[in-house]
Amino acid sequence: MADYQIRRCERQLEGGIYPETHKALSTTDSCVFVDDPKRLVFPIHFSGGGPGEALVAVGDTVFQGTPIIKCQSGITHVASRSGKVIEITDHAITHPSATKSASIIIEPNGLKDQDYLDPLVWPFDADTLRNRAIEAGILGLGGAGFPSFKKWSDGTQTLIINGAECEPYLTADDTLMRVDTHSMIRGACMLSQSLDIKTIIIGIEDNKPEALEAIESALKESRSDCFFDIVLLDTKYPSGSERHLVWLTLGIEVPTGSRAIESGVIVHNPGTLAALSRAIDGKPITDRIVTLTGEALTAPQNVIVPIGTPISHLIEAADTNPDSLASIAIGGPMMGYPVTDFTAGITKTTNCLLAREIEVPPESPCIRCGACATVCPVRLQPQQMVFALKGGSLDRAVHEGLIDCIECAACNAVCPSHIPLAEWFRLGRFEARDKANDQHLAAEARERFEARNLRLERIALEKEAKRAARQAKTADALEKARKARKESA
Amino acid sequence: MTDALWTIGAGVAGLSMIGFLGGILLHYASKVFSVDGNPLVNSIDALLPQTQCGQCGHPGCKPYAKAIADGEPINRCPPGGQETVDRLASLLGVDTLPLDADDETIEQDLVAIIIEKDCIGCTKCIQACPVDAIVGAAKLMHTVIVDECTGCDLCVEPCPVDCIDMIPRPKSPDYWMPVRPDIISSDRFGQIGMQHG
Repeated sequence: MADYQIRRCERQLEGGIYPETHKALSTTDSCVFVDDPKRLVFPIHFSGGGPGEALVAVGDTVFQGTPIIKCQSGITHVASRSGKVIEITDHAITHPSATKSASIIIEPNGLKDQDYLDPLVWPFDADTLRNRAIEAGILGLGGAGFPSFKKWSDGTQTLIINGAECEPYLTADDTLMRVDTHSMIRGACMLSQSLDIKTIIIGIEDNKPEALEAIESALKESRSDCFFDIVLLDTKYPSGSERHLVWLTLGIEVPTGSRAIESGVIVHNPGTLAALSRAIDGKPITDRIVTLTGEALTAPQNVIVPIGTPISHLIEAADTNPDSLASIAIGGPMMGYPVTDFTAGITKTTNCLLAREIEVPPESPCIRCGACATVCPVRLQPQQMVFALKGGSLDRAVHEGLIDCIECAACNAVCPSHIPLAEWFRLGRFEARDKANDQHLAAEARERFEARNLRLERIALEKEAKRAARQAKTADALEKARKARKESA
Repeated sequence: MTDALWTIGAGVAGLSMIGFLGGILLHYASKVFSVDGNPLVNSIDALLPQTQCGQCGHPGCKPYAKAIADGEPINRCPPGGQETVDRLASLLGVDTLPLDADDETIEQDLVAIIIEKDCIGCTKCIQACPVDAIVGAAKLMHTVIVDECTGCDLCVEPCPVDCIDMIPRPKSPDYWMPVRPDIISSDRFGQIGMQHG
């Protein structure tokens, strides 16, 4: 039995909101595989892990687990079912940009051919584990899709399992913690042991008693010598934000502009750790749990879905006609984004399909009520930032702290004027990032320009010196010749 | 009486001494902490886009920065756009000016690309590039390091076989930008400088 304790979190999230959670809608005891779809769609550049490169060509036969995309970060994505590559073309993707992008289309053949990696045998070191995470395509399954291996630096003290799942409607992590508890615990222990981490914290909101129970019984059976510190959090949004979870569980405030890892903390989604556990056994990520929920679906539930499954197939799996929906939100009501083309395939970061009909009232002018500033968990002044952004003054917004915004959209939820604050902040953050990049390039260009000028100057001086030397030599020789002639004369 | 004179004398002498020592201190401080060059030039240079394109009539951004510090108009940098003019105005505490450029030269983020099959390896573009963004050697094909090209187009003219084109700067395939939310009419009033009510 692994050592563990359960404690109530003594810290309070500053700001934040208590939205209606609607989690009962999709919570069921079981979680089943959906039938294989007719097509699987894998976007080459938007599967997570940066822009990629196709490793297969049209007509190739792939097995479940065959690498098909290699990303710039090294992350490899694999085919989630065996089949044939029928097309590589621009296809709708599950992404907030709503553009079409180069994608690999695979037609599954229903066979169980597998192309897995060799299992790792304990003991292995951290580098072996990092390589395995790259080969198996492990990235943050919570939604951001950050390549996991980049978080695993030596000298980390704590691993936090982010089981908060504060976003309303979502129950994918809850379900995973119930049905796949052992994999999650095993993944966490393996990671901790290879990185020499002593404490594993599980941050979990107090609205998930079944998951807590499952974790407890799994820990009682576990033979790990890691210490598990289970922290019960208030059900308050956004306690599952990485920086806030670190603060709530450890009391460490992650400084602005840095990541949790720089404070010696790794935060992982439960699904990522479960996937890591399977990757150690040789199985790359081919499936994930997706919450199908929302009032517009006939049968909301959690399902295990092959990566690349088209959204329409999942809507059908929830007993609903895809044509009856105009759009679907990917990722929940707070931080999700709408997708209207249901042929797009789900990616590793798709945790929820939310179908509901809501009417967003038209935006009205800001009445300076300050509600957004009260709920902002980062203690910013959203109204000031949105004034600046609407007025075209990005610098002002950055000065107000735009870079620290976590885009949690708590401000949107409370704004009585229905101002889309978070949309503005997302745009502003992208623009600020572009601008910072431009400035970086300009600084490099300046350096090269100045270095070039120095070089040209030096070359000119060297040439001048050589010319002078040559002249002196000629004059010398001339002088000698004259002398010689005089002497002989 | 003499006591009073002594007191006054000592006071004057003491203060003079402090003043003298302070003077020496300031003298050395000005030597030790002196800043090379005009610090204003560096602040101006930091705002310029560093394309080194020479469209302002100076051979690079730093020389233009020097010229601005000496009183030249601040609106001669087309790659920087109106934004740079505004920032310069606020740095220098002067009124902003409209950008002095043709419309088509504004807001175009271009880079040079060498049509490699046509390149004869004359190295003329390499010599023209102000930021060392072209690699190659005599009689060998040249190529542009796209990430380092500032789009100044100084390499286009010297090319004897006309094999350099300016193309829009290529973006990473996963580059995207969120859609701009609509501005409601009540906000627009503020934007065009009208007063409410």
